[in-house]
Amino acid sequence: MPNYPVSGTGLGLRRALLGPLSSVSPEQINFMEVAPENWIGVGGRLGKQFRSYTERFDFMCHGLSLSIGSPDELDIAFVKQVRDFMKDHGIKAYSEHLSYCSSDGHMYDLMPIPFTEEAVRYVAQRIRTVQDIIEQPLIIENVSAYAQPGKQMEEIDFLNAVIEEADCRLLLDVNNVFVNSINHGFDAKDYLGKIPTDRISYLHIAGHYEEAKDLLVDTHGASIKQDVWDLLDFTYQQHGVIPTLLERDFNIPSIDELIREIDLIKHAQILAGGSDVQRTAWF
Amino acid sequence: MSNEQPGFREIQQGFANHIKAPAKIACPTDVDDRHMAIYRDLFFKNVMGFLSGAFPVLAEIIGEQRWSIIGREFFSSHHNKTPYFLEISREFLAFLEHEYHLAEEDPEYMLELAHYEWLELFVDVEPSDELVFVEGDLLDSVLVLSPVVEGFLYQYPVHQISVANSSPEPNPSALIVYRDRNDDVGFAETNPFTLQLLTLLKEGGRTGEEVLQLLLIQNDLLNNNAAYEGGVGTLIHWQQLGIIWGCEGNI
Repeated sequence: MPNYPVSGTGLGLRRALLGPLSSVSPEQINFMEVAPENWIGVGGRLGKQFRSYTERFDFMCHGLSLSIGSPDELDIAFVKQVRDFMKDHGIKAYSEHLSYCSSDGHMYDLMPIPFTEEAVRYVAQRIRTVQDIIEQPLIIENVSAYAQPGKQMEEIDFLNAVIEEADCRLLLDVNNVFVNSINHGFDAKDYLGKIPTDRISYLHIAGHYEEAKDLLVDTHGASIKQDVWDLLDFTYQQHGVIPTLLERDFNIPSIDELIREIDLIKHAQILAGGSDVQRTAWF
Repeated sequence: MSNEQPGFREIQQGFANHIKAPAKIACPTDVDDRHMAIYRDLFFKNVMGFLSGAFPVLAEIIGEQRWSIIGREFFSSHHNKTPYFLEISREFLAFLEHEYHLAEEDPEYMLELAHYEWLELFVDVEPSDELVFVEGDLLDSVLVLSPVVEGFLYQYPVHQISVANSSPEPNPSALIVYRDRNDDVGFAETNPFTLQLLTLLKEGGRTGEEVLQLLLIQNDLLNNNAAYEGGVGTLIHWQQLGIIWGCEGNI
């Protein structure tokens, strides 16, 4: 029986959305997600506004600075701060990118870990360390990439090996699978078919930017493309109806438009077998 | 050694170093330049976005081209320790203070202006405990100061600097930046004498009368009525502004 930390459809909460989303209900947006790096240590007006959201909505932490695959040392103090932040706000679970964002200091964006056996062991060990501190499984996300330096295995094999060896959970980003399938020339459905169903905690979906026919950039700055909608349907067919969160970080449209896109996700969930709550009952 | 592949961590460091300093460090050999360019642009635009967002006045005065050169130096050479995005501005301030060498075309007040712009951000978001306070007699009651309030003596009037006023003469400026009762950021121009008053208030636990007497003693002004009356006026003014939130209630 699937055991998801949240249910239904969600939206990434950004500072720019604090005002516009104030009248939205948990029936419209079932859960939200924030980068702890934007909110830990933030008080005053912003801190109060943020708390009014965590009091009303189910929340996930979606981190950016953990740098789980970094050549730099793991920042244990930071992981503890995330753990305390989650307790303080009643946040359900912690997801992070299977990536790194620091090398001799933080660089504040995501770089691709070389797909090697050595990297699998290194990253898995660090994930286990984090899980020991937060006392719950870490949820790692497949990232979009524009290069594959030092590649010795396929992305899907690397991802699965890390999940298996770290005994962690997966945040499956459907848009990232599509972006990478174009950028690196693999079959997206084949990739999705190889994902272990019972490891998935939730899904991400977003829009991307077409730099060239063979080079897509994961901008979170546009509405979801049809190819990605198709892959979402395919994912639901393959793995069941899973809680799904819309990411929108740039060119943020009106709330009505965001809700419309979220409703389309809900629609896809219903077509695929009802809400994830109903689906749970079938197993 | 000769045929050995570099370990994945060396590959990562090479990849990251090229993104930080593409003019100095070559692109990884197994990645083509068109793909690497995506990373170079994403990372640098991201960092410049943080810097320009935190230091809008300085960025505009310095000008796009020069600002971007300074940003590149920061990104390629400074060891950023903070995982928190709002603290990148503090890292940049540390870089300006300890690592950056002022170029001839840079304004003398660069570090001071950056500090002032950082301070506005700091006062806005710094966490604080909920304060309990009541209205009361400022002289007889223990005063409750704004939970986030900082005062600095700058050598330049940094609060007046803008693109339209980018070459001010040095002029010592005592400035207070604080969070008011509505969680808005307030500014007050003052003088070194009243900055001392702020320092005494921040130590906490004193009535207005006690603070004023201490201030007068420290400045050899005991029994100077004009100085005392001036101090009373400042306390009243600061209460109106929200630098002083109120008084401690009776327990």
